[in-house]
Amino acid sequence: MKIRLIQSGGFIGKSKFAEEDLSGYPKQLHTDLDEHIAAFHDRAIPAKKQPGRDTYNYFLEYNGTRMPVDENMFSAPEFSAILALLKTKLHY
Amino acid sequence: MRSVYSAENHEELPGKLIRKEGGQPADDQDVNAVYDGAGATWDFYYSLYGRNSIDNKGLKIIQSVHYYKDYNNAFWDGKQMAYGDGDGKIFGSFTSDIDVIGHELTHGVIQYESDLEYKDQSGALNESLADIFGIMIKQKTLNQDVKTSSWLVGENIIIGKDYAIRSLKAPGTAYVNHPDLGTDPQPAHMSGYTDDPMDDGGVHLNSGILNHAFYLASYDVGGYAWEKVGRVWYNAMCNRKLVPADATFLDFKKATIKESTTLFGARNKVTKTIRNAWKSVGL
Repeated sequence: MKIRLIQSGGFIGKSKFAEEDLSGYPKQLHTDLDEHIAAFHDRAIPAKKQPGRDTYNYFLEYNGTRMPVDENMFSAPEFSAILALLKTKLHY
Repeated sequence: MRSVYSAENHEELPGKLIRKEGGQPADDQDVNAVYDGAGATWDFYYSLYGRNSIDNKGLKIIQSVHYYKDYNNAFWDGKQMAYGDGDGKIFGSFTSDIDVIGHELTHGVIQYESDLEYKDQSGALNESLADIFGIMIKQKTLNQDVKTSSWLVGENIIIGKDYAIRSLKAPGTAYVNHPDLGTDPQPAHMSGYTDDPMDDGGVHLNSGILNHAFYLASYDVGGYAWEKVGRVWYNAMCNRKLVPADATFLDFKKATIKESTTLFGARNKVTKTIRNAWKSVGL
């Protein structure tokens, strides 16, 4: 199962992409992602109003779902490592 | 009142204070560039339209350079500007162009006026106004009229010759066949309007349509863009009744015609030219 990080917006307005194959990763990461997606679909994660202009937007695509990624998810212990890795691999 | 900080390649803002209002130029040229750029922006708004800083009440202008590492971006976070150094491969420093500095500061102006919602048409309008006032700030600084201006935003940010970020004169041509970025995707007409959900509905894309309308009107009126068409756009931008937070392209078109009628008269060349410009882009 692949995970994809998308960085969009910004002053330039061009998107960057990064992918990682999670088949060799611990089962717990898959479980955590599934739970996060379920919460997203249940609208348990409130959308934040962004005051910033030309800031980046981040999206995650996993298991057929695309959802926004915010600062909380980037710093969450269960996701921070994989998201940090994906950030280093972003390309146009 | 200007304060320029260095984020020292970290994400925490504002960072370390390097230069405050009236301070001597710093050794860091990025600091000096945004200090001067903010001064030029303040002068532009005050001398032409009587506006005292971002909030029209003398708000201190806070800027941070060297934001994060290899950061290919500049932004307004609701309280201040931040500029990246670029990755040195595709992009240079985002302090390189005064129109970028003017663009980000204008996001602040918009926040204190209609506070246009950053999505869909209102978001594209927000982006367009930032580009339009950014380009006029560059034109005034360089004493360029509508014919001598290149109408290019961010001419010095993409490394290599013949690349800019956006073109008001010819949206879709600012960069062509760039090995990493491809070709500028901006439309110049409503027929090219595209909803890009990853860019808040295409705010950086569809701004090209509005940018082009401003260019067409300014070019046909002639002289310096800020004198007549720029004044109409400024008055429209500050008309919160006609341009609410969820304003559409059509709302803004109507606001510019109303403001031009008030300033110059319904049958004046400026008003007619503005009408024609909107028609030319499909509005």
